[in-house]
Amino acid sequence: MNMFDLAQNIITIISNQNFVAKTVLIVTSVLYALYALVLARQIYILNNLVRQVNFSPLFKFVALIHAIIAIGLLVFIIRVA
Amino acid sequence: MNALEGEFVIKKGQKIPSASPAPPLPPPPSQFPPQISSEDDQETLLPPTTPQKVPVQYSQVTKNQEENLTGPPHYLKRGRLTPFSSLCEYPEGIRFAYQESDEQIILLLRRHFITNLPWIASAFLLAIIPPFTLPFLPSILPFINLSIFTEFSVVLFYYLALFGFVFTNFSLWYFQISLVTNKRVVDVDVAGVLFRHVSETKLEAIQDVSYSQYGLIRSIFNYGEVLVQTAGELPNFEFENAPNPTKVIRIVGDLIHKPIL
Repeated sequence: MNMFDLAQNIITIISNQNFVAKTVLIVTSVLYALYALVLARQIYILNNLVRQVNFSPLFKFVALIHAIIAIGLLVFIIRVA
Repeated sequence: MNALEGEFVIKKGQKIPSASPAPPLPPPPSQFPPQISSEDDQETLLPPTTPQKVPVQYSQVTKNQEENLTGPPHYLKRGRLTPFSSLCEYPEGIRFAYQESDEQIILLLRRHFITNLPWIASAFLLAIIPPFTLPFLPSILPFINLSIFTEFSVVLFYYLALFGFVFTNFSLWYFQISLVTNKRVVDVDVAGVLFRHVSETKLEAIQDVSYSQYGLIRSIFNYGEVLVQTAGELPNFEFENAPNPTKVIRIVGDLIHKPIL
């Protein structure tokens, strides 16, 4: 494969907007899923530091659901979209 | 000669004592020995040379006076703590790590809720933008050609990220908390997801409390910066955007027995 064919292939790939959008979305989703996991972990730690009896379990639950949805969306993008 | 009880008898050859202050007369027989009725009364009969602790007659003071004797200000009322409370006195249902068994939280402080207005307004605007713009997107950007699943994924990700934005900002507000107990001041600073700073100081180390309030918004909504100055090289505490700063410094001032106002 010479340089011309390589450039031709790259242009073909880039011209496929759907592929580019999906790639960007996957990368962003991976980063966001990591962020959601870190956020959930931090919220668990901070809830142990200051624990409001009525609200802390709900807070932890929301953080956990947020992280699960972020990972679920990543899987959805990779498999379906 | 038999001496009668209560008489002085001078024997022969005995010197008569020089003039001296008359010895205290014994109490009348009806009061001697005194009738001791309780342990508290017994303490009051100790010799005057012994350091004597004045017993407090708790039965004679009112409830408010009793609270004054124990330390926390008596004018505080037990507050109802909600997730959105930014100032709560004697909050119920909250504990912090390393809280001692006899330690009571007197004051809970967060930033005034109005300081959340910028991100709430931003989130609201970001939430209503897609429904108004997506129908016109093909006409605005006709060269974009995405599959329906990709578009759906982008919208899903957008709203998930928006929820994350709201949740993160609320968490930062919720956990940036200052607690004043009957023993110490605890300050939790959370700036960003990856940074938190927890500091505490004993009430005895606090030297001064002051606040500053500047600007129109702070004056309207009555919040400001409360500065707790500690002794020596200990770090000072700053309660940022504390609601009702006058009340806060009054409470802390009363706790350190240095009335501010």
